[in-house]
Order: sequence, then structure tokens, then C-alpha cells
Amino acid sequence: MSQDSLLSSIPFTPLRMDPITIREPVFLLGQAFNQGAEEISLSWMELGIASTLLVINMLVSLCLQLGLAKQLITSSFRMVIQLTLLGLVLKQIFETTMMSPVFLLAGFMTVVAGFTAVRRINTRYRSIYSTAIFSIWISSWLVTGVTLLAILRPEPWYRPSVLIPMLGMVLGNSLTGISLGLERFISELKQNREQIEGLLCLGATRWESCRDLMRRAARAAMTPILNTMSVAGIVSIPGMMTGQLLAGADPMQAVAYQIMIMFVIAASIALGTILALSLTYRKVTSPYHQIEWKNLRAREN
Amino acid sequence: MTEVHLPANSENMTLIEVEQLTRVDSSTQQTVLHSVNLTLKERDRVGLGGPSGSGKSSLLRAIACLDPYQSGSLRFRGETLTPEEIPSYRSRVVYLPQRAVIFEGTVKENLAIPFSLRSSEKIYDEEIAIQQLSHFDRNEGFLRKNADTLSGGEQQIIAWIRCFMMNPNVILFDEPTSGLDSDARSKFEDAVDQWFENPSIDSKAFIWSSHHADQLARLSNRQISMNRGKLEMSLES
Repeated sequence: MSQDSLLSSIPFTPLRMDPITIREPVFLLGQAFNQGAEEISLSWMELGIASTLLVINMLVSLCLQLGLAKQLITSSFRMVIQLTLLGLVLKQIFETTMMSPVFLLAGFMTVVAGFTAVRRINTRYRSIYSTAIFSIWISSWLVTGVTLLAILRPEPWYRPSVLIPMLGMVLGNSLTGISLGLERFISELKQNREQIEGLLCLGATRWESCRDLMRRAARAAMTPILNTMSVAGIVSIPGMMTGQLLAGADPMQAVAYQIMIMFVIAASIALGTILALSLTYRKVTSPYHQIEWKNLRAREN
Repeated sequence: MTEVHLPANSENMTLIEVEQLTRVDSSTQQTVLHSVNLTLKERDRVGLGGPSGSGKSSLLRAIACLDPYQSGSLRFRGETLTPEEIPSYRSRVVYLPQRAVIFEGTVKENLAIPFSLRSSEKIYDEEIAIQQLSHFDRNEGFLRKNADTLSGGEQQIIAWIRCFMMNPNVILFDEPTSGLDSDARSKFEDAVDQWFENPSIDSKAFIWSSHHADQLARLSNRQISMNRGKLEMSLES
């Protein structure tokens, strides 16, 4: 889960260290930092050493002529710059007590996530961007909202140091799910044109003709999170937990957070995918039980 | 001259009426159907000729409501179709494409698909399937075969039997025998004849498109022809 980098980057960014109002027995993100546990902080120098590890990647790419070296450098630079900017923005935002900048950033993140979800989809329909943004908006904000108001309950409830990382993690996973689901649905729709029309010819409703595709697309969207959940703790320690452990959190608390996050993410992916798929289904079919092939266009660029 | 008047057949009920149907393909901006008029009555065996790309398939697909059209109307038994009626209309007016549509699973599963749909009012009757299979020299064991592994000709036979079992009023044949050898082709034509002449089911008609004038002459009792999206002529055979 690459989006975890958002949260695991938090130990690197100077978090506010002042005591946090805690309503027992609720954990707060970042609470671990106040517990006096031994904390590993990273200097820019040490990050520099880490970056030299990339040289290995580049050597491999050059030796095998994979042509990835340039892309590796660009992506690395992008990652460093984006995360640094994020750190600076978060620092500012975390210090604010006003609602508007928090929601401005949250809204911006959501729209970017919506655009990103569509990026890898090759065949599109006209309103695919608004569909993706709408689905990701509703699902992520609803799920994050429930988490904030019912589980984490920070003070105030929109506390940026909780809201932004939570939303970021949810958005990142939702966008992957929506992207995979839409991609699968549209590409299978095109590939199975004969079968789908064949079903319609036999008297199927538009829903009956697309039902199997919808099912397969929803499964494709959920596969990454289902895999992650089933191997969590065995094959990998999830990114967020790794970040917390490195920052010196109590393992059981880190576990509790991670479990909560997994459930929250899974719920958001499921909700977002169902929304995006249902809206897409309505866009590519007509009430006359036809498939609107004309609405599907190969991306232009 | 786009209008085609099929010979009056007053005692037979009108099944399908197509009026001034125009369809423009939105991706190519080509007019694939130009104000087509067509009336299909009970007992009509219509042969549909015309060169490739003349709009034969487009016409049959339009009658099956598979593509949106820009203007004109389509009536079934005198009634315009509401969106909700279209699935059950399609189970009464079945379009059989040139390439048989085969789904994953056995032959039996393929034959049973229409009966699993909400629009279906009938239940799957294996007796009918076996009787039809025997017409094509296949026995009961054929039902258990994996439909994916069959030849194109055998798949077309399955598509026909599936359509036959739905007991439709109208079948829209889109060059159904183009992939069959001559023996299978004549068996296919015989099967269609038998379906049509079976007195227990009345109110039937079909349109059969083909490149072969001799096949059209053999099968139809009236012929029409498409040219560049227009319905051109009417012949009685």
C-alpha cells in the first residue's frame, strides 16, 4: 500500500509534541510520541544514505537495459518533493484550529485521488472523472467521518493531525479499488461484447447482461485489500504500523490502530467501488436494455 | 424509393411494423439505416439480400432493439414498446447473429440460459433439446460437452436449438449458415422449415439474411434487399 507512505512519513515530519486531549480509552494517532518511548528520529543526512540504495536499482536497470533509470530518478524526485511539501503543509495545517484550511486540503486531496483513479483507465466515457470523484468523495468522507466521530473522537473532531492522515490513507486505497474496478468493468464490457449482446438477445435485462461483469469488477477492486488483510502480520507488517513502531509506539496499540485502519479501508473501498460501478453501469447502458457502445471512447492522447 | 410494401396478407396479423426508421452510427456519422419501412406479418418468410455492409445486420439489430435509433418507430403487434417490455419482446423476437454466442459451461447450460432470465415464462425442457439434437445427428451425451470446445458449426447448432426452445414468434436470422458446410446447412434449413411448419405454434415469421440468392429463394416466400442503408425492392418468389 503505497499510500501508507503518507502516514509512515509522519514520524519524519516534525509533529507537534504538545499533549493531546484524550478521551479515555480512545487512542489518538500520534499519541505514541507522547509516551516517552525511545524514538528514532531521522536526519536529512540519514535520508541521504537511504537514497543511495536507489543506486542499486539504477545499476540493475542499466545492466539489464530495462530503460527504467530515468523513470526511477524522476519518480524518486517527485516522491521526495511531494512528501517534503506535504510535511510543510501538514506542519502549517496541524497548527491551525480553523476548519476551512483543513477541509480545503481534504477536498484537494479528494479531487486529486479522483483524477488519479481514472488515469490508468484506457477506455472512458464522458463523465468518468465526475463519477470517480463523486464515488471517492462520498465513500472516503463518509467512512473517515464515521471513524472520526465514532471511533477516534479527537478534539475538535476535525483535528487535522488525525483527519488528514486518516483521509489520505482511505483515499489512497479507495482510489486503487475504484481504478481497478472500473478498469476491469469497462475492459471486460468491451471484450465480452458478443456475450453481453447475446444475453440481451435472449431476453436478458441490462442488469442480467452486466451482472457477472459487475461481480468480477467488484472482486478485482477488493482483491488487493483482501490479500493485504489475509497476510497482514505474516508476510508483512503494514506500512502504517511500521511507521508507528519505528516511532516507538507500543506494539499492541499499533496493532489496534492497524486493525481499525484495515476495516475502515476495506469499507471505503467496497463503498467507493459499488458507487463507481453502479454509476458506470448506468452510463453505459440505456433504459431500453441496450449497451451504449457510443459512450465508450478510447482515451485521447 | 425507400418504402417497401410487402404483398397484402390481410387475414394474417401484423407482428412487426418498422416505420421511417433512421439510424446514424454515432462514431462514424454514417447513416446505416435510411427511413426504413417494413411490415412483417404472421407466416411471412422474408429473405433479406444485399451486399456486405449494406445494412442487413443493422436492420435486424434494429428490429431486435439492440441499437438506439434517431427517428422512426417500431411496433410489435400494433404496440410501441416501453423500455420495460423490451426484454420479453426480445424473447419473442429473437436475433440470431452470424457468429453463435456461446457462454462458458456445457451445452446443456448454454441451452438453459434463456430460462434462467427474468423475462422467461417457460421452463427448460430437455426433451425438446434432445429431439432437436437428434435432427443434427447428435445424442444426449452432446448436452454434457463443454460448449467452448465445439466447432463453429456445432456452436451455431446450439444457438439455433437454444432459440428454438424459446419458442419465439419471430426469428431474425443473420446469415446463420455462412459458417456451416453444405450438409449442416441443409439440416439447419430443414430444422427451420420444421419449426415454421409446426402447426401447434401459430403466429410465426422470420427474416433470413444471406448473400446466396438460391438460399433466399429456397427459404423465403418474399424477398427484400438492402442497399446503402435503404430497403430497395420487393420480390415475390
